[in-house]
Amino acid sequence: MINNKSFDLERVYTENREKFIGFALGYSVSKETAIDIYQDAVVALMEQIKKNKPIAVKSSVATYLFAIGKYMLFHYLKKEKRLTVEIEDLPEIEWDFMEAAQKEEQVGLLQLYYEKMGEHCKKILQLFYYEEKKLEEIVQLLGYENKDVVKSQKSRCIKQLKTLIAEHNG
Amino acid sequence: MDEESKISISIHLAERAAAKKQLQALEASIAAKKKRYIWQWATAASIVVAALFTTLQLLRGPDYDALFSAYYEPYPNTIAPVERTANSDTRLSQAFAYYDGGDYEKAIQAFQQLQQSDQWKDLQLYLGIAQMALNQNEEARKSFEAAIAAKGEMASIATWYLGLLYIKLEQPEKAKPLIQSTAATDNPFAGNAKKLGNELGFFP
Repeated sequence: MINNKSFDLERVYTENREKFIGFALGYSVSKETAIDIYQDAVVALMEQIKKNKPIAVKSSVATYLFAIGKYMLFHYLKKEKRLTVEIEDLPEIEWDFMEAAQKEEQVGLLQLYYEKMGEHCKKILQLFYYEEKKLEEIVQLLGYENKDVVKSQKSRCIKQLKTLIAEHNG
Repeated sequence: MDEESKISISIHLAERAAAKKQLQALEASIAAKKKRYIWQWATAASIVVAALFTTLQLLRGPDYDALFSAYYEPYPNTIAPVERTANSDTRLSQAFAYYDGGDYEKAIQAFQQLQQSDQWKDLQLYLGIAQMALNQNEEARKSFEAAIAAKGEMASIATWYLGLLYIKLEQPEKAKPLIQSTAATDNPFAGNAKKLGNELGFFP
């Protein structure tokens, strides 16, 4: 199974790029849109790998990438009301675009202040929320004494984030 | 949506945005590489085309047509100027009238009827020029050679025109001694013969 360490982003991106863009152009999207969707698909792939989701058990990286890209392309076409394929043809992919949440003001603020946090806090929050690592794994990855230390450190980071937003809201 | 979910989603969106930024930079570097590659390919291709063109030019040799056109002009009528009087040889005048007017077919016929004339030795030069103008190249060659062999006043001029005829026929090896000879003797075409000989590498 592919993991974060063995994943060569540049190679995967380059090797599958032409094939996917060629496929997307067949649906009369612009090249810019095709590239944008392809990049979203690669982001999804990277996310699955970081979360240690067993993508390579069922399929190869290329197959998964193509499937998620196709799913995202159809999602785009559906949004643009240009979808000409039957919904049953959509690949079976679980992917949350988080589109509704993006419209929420507080989510936008959390995103903004998360990006401005120190590297240390960002790393803990990234591992816990984004990569969905368990506290024991974070202990190993960041060299903490035990999971209680990680837990309290994570709480401090969340508090800091909330304080930044409270200050913003004045 | 509870607070924990909002935090999780925000971090997801931020991490996805950061990853996308990384991919956009990768895409830009691919585009730059491609552009560089296209330029390198285009440069290499133009070098190959230029080399091929030069090689072809070298293989094809000089453009003899262009050289002939640059150096050829009909030799002026110095034998029977048009202001001749009624006592003049009217057949000769008529032949040159055709020649001067560029009516080479009639000029050829008229010159050929003057074989018994005293000036026949020199008339063969004009006959050859008229034949060359009509692409009767073999006849022209014989006329020039006859004019040269007759050793008349026009022999050196006929040498030049025979040389030009061989240039026209793309036979430089036959033109070479004739051009060299014209350049070496005192005649109106000596300068042109030197220039043409230099262009064709006839002189060391």
